[in-house]
Amino acid sequence: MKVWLIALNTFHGLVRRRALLALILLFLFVFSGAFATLFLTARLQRAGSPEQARLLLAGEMEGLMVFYAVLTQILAAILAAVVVPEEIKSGTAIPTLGRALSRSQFLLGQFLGMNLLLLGFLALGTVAFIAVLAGYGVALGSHLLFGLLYSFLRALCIAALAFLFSSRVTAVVALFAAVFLLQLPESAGLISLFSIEWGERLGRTSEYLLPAWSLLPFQSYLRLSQAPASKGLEFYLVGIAHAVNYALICLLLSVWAFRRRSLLPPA
Amino acid sequence: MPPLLRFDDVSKTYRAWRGWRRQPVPALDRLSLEVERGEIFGFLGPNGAGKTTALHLLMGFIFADGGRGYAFDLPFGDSRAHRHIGFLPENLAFYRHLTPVRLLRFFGRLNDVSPADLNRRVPDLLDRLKLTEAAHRRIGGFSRGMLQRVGLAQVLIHDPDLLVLDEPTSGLDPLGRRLVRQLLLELKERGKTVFLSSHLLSEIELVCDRVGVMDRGRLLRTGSVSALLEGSTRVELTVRGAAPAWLERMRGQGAEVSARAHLHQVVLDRPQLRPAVEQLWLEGGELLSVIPARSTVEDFFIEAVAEAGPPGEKVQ
Repeated sequence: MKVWLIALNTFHGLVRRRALLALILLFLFVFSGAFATLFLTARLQRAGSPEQARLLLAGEMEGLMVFYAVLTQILAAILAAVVVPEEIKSGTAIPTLGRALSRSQFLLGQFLGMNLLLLGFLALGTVAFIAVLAGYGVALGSHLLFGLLYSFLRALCIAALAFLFSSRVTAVVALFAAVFLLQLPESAGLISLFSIEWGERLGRTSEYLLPAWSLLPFQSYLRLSQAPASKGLEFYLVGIAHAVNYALICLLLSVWAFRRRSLLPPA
Repeated sequence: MPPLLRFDDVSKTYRAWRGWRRQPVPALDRLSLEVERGEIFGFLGPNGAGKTTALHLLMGFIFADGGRGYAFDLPFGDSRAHRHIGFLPENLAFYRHLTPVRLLRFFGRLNDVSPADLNRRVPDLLDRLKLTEAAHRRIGGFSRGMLQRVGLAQVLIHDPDLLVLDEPTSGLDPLGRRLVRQLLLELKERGKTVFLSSHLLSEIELVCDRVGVMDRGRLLRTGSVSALLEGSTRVELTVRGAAPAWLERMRGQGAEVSARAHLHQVVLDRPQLRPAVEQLWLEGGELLSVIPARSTVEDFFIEAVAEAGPPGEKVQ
């Protein structure tokens, strides 16, 4: 109950953030760019090339959906890195934790509230995409649902990771640490261009730190032009289980890290 | 009956950057203190004495390096004890998106106050703290004084048994200060315990039962305010229509006499008080007030800090 109270309050506080509004405006700006494609599609349809029109629309919408999913993940990292340090920096954590509320309840409430916002952000985008696609008569495959689920799970894992760092250090340091860790697999590929040995070492390290990270392939499922190769139930279950595992472990570690953190704003 | 609040040899050291190194800065040095149920304890001390650190340790916002502390027989920071504690921080920060009504309801629910009680208490507190007009405005636009009133309301929302107040009158106008004084005395009548820190010695003197003086992290002295007042040796009389002969006699007896408008202020030793007042009345004068010549708490505070030595030296 108290966790839910904190979550709702966090959600209401975050919704009023100007930075979030700026991010939504950015998306709307990019989305408005897609109107040019929609206009072109309509012209192609009238000109008697429905297949070309469909392909053009599918390509554009795929790009937009992946962009939106990445934006959600960036938002997840920023929100998770900021939410607790901001409470400490502004001093609002003090009167709240002066109540009959444990630190773990406070932390879980913050995480839940932040994820409510992420879920809302993703739901808003999903409704917008479905409306546009339905308007153009594009059939929605069931794999898109997996794409959305994977997008959310990936955002959840990223948020949990950034949240873990932010429960101990400042928002900027937490964000940098999370980005550094998430970029390790890509960095391994880059380094192997110069040194195969060091690339492999880094690859092994990243596989150790972020095991089965590739089991959440949201990009492969946010497709309209072609359906992804079907996989067994086991593949999906293992991917989802890994994501839940990531989130839970990071949350438990953050509760542990936060239990003796000073709540005074940094001098 | 065990004390409500107990500090046992509590120490705290911060680490602060000095040049390129982080060096230890002692904030609290083996603080031992007990606060009994139903008393108002005033914590005095110059800036940086460690008063706020002690309050933050009590609330569990930071942790001691040494020693132990208990509130309601539970270790400091235990959320079960917080159910009975109301805390007012010095630097007030509340959720800017909430209105006072919503904030009070939110904090009340976190303290397990029933919705029925909240429906009764919220308007009552807003009314008492003169916040009714601003009840539905967002806190983000509030002045310091209004924030302080909201702070006091949130302290009282769950009717706590122990109130921990850090500079409760800071940012308030004279009317607001009087309101806080009345509130504290009312709480005392209801048997509540108050642990407050303040720079305002006159207010401490008016409301506290006991005071403690801190300097450079150490508790230098504690004492009962009533004992201090009884021990006061000089009193100040404000009189009207005093005969010049009476004023001259007072001067002759070693009293300090000063004139202000149509009034005279006479500072004399306490044993001289009774005969002086009797003579004044006999000669047609009027006694308007009698107060201790100087704030006895101020004397107590200044003596304690002076004994500890100048800043920079280690407290003896």
